[in-house]
Amino acid sequence: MKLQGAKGPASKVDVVRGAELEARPRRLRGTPWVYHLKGWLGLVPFLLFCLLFELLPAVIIIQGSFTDSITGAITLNNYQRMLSQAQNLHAFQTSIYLSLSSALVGAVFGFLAAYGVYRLRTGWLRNFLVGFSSITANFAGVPLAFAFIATLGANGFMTVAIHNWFHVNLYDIGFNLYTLGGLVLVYTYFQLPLMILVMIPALNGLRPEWREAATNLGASGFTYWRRVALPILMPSLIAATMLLFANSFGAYATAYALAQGAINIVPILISFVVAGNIQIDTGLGNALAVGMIVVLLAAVSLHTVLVRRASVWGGRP
Amino acid sequence: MSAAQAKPRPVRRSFGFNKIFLILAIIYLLVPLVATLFFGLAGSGGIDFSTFQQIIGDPNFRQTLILSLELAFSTTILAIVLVTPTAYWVHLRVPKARPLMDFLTLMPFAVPAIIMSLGLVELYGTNDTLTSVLSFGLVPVLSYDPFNIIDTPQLLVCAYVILSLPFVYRPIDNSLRAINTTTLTEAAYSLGSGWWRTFLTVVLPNIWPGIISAALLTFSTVMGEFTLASLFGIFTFPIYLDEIGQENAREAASLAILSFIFTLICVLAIIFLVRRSAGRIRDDSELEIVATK
Amino acid sequence: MAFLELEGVTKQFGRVAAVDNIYLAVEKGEFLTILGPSGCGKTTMLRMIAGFETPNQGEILLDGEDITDRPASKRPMGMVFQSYALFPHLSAEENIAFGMRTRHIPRDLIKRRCAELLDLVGLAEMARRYPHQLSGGQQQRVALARALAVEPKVLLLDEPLSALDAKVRVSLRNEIRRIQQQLKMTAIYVTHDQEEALAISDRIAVMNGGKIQQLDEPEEIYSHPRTAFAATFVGASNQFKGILESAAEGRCRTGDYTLRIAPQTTLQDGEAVLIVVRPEELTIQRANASAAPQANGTINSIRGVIDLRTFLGPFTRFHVHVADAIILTADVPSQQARGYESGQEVVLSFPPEACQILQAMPDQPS
Repeated sequence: MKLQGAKGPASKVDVVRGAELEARPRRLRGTPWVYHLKGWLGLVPFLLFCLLFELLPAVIIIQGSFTDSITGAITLNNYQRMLSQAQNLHAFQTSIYLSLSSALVGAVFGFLAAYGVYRLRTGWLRNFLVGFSSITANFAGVPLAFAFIATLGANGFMTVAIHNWFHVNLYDIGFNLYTLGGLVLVYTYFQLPLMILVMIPALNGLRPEWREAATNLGASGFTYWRRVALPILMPSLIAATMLLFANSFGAYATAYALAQGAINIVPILISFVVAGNIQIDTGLGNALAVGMIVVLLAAVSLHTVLVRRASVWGGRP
Repeated sequence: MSAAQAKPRPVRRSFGFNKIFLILAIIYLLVPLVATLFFGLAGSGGIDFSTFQQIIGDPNFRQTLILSLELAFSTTILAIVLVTPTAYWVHLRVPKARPLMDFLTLMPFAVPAIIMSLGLVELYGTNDTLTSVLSFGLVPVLSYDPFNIIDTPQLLVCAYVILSLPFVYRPIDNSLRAINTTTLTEAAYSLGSGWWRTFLTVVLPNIWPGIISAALLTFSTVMGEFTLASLFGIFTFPIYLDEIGQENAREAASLAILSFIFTLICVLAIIFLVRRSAGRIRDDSELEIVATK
Repeated sequence: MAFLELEGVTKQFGRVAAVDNIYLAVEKGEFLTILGPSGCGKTTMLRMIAGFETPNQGEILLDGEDITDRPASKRPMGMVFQSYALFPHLSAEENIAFGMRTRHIPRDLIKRRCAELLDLVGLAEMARRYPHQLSGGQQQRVALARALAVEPKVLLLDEPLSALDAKVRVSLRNEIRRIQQQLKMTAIYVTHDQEEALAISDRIAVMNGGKIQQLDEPEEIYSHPRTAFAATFVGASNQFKGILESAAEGRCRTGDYTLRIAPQTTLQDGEAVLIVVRPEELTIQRANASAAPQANGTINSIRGVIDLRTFLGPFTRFHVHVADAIILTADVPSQQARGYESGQEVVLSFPPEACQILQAMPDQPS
């Protein structure tokens, strides 16, 4: 029931003015879309920059992948060759194998190491280890390759040391740094600390009350992990693995410095195109690049989706 | 108090199954560093600094180092100047653009340096109608005189800015969220301060740890970037490193150590800054550094 | 011509009108409070006055000038925020100086004014302290000084005390009022706390659903609320729905009771009305079998059973069950409330003049 004061409207003064003001037609104020347009205008410098150096390169690659490099006509030939020629398929296989292996090894051991850091009581040691992980995660590319050559190369420090101490020549028993296996080992070097860095915040998100509640309900440590902690951590774990995968799938410098193009992975193939090497024509190169983008987009999207899911469960804003 | 007091219970200390993997990981990470150090310094019967001296005496060392430093400074400044006002504007005025910003700053993960090099070479090296139109005519303008940017350090800097976007946007955006930017801006407006003045005197002083983190991350990324420089044919420090390394393993080891020390300094600086601003803003993500080489 | 005027101001978010065709005139030097529950539009209205939102319709005039299209930084208003919004990287003194430095006022004058203002808000020794070194109340006082530093024409306060402890709230609201009166500053204050509004305002605008329900002095609103919302939102109230039997004699039939009210001149017989009685107007007595249950002379008396007795310090609140679904609230000074316990039969009495009559509009949906 709506009620009105028996004494009349709100204020006597307002009645008089209100009446005369209501007689005047009210015009609508500034249209909302002008306001929004002005808002977007402020983004123009940034958007233009991204357009010129990030988006259009992708566009031209996609366009080029459908173009025949000799005739300039639109074709699916490039994709056909990419999917049928042994060299290309092998490159993708190798790339995926390399990235997945280093990602999984880095993920598993990185998570276990992260758990160790998480359980550390001494604050300064924890901070030190996080810092150390930051440094090693960023130590990749050419210097890392040389560091490993200096360590486990044919005349590397460790190779020689192991020979001297254990009288075993690594290279005789089949180890070779300059092969795919060696590359996995090298890639793991920056994958592992990256995993540590990403998983520590996720582990910190595990509230101690959950463990207490589980124990109170009769769960053992193992059960707690199996039924509470790991399921909760799973989105973060997979997201992190995807990040590691994308990180190594797109890497070029380390592989180049280590093996000089002898190892057949997709980034190396693409570099042939850019360098003008006639082994690969631009059309095929573009198709390879698109293939890479697709794989990477899949990994990054999965990562983003899972990160969002993890943050919802964790209750962090 | 009774005479028979309780025996002190033995303190159970589980050393830690969980610590084993941590120790193994640390060993795995330390061994190459230590080995490289020894490898680079090992001489006949003692520490031999001759490789270091040789390197420092090499004119190419100085030249490429200076070039890399210039590139790093330019990239850092351009990236910060481009991203910071934009991040502030988005936060304040166009929150709907957030997903777009997230997408654009995550794209460098899907389009890494190797792919970007291919794209840039094709974009600015060839005549393509579609992209000319989409870029409002800017691509042709930039491709030819007077700009002519294909294979230039300028183009390299622009590409580096894009590659650094994920590490620049995220810390700055996190800082803006942490300090209740909108209310502070309104307070400044109510005191008569315009947009730019507010940005410079209110927002910037409060997000500078985020900015410095972004700057250091960008700086160290550029100093170590190899792919784009190599494929554009620009003689930067990492290229020099590779050249030397392919010939002389010991010099390579020394240079690797130098590289590592440089990264160490950058990261320590970031950590130090994050700790110092602990009273006001804490930002865990600043410690996440992604190697994208 | 009032000092600050809102004419037909409307603000819509999507389909909802947060502020619906508001006409408001604020006098110079007046302390006006906009009082209402969360979501009633009061903060939106304040933000439009400040310039942080633009109205979809209507005009805002300050001292005769139309400022509706002026950006916030060009309006001569000072604002105090709920979250204080002090600049964390500046000391208290520097915060206060901020607005003055924007206006390029000479250094020594700024320093003097900062000292004056810190004195005014009672924080003379805190000049060099940083916001994180100050308590909530101190921060808000610095915020107040900062807003006053630019000598605004209107001071706007957006629920400035909500984030503070109860005791600090009371002392700070009195200080705000004292300073406002001392400076003869026009102030618009937004709050959902009716006690605050009653204590410090010259006039209160009670707001709900984007509309102003009543605009009056505090005592008027309390003793003569003009809508059911105003009656319930400001202070507690007992409400009876009924039909006016006789306007001239002042008789009203509600449910089982006939209530005596003051003779009505503006209403007609047979109209549906709502009768509002404040709890402190009710007196409580033990029920005697001999006492007639109702309309004893000209005093209204209603019999009931005490449901709940709550001791509130200076007075005691009784919830008395009088009929099927009706529970009346009586506030009795605690001295007189001794001896009355739950479950007792009592008689509540109130004079006809204590009844506020509000016209019910039966054709409106309830």
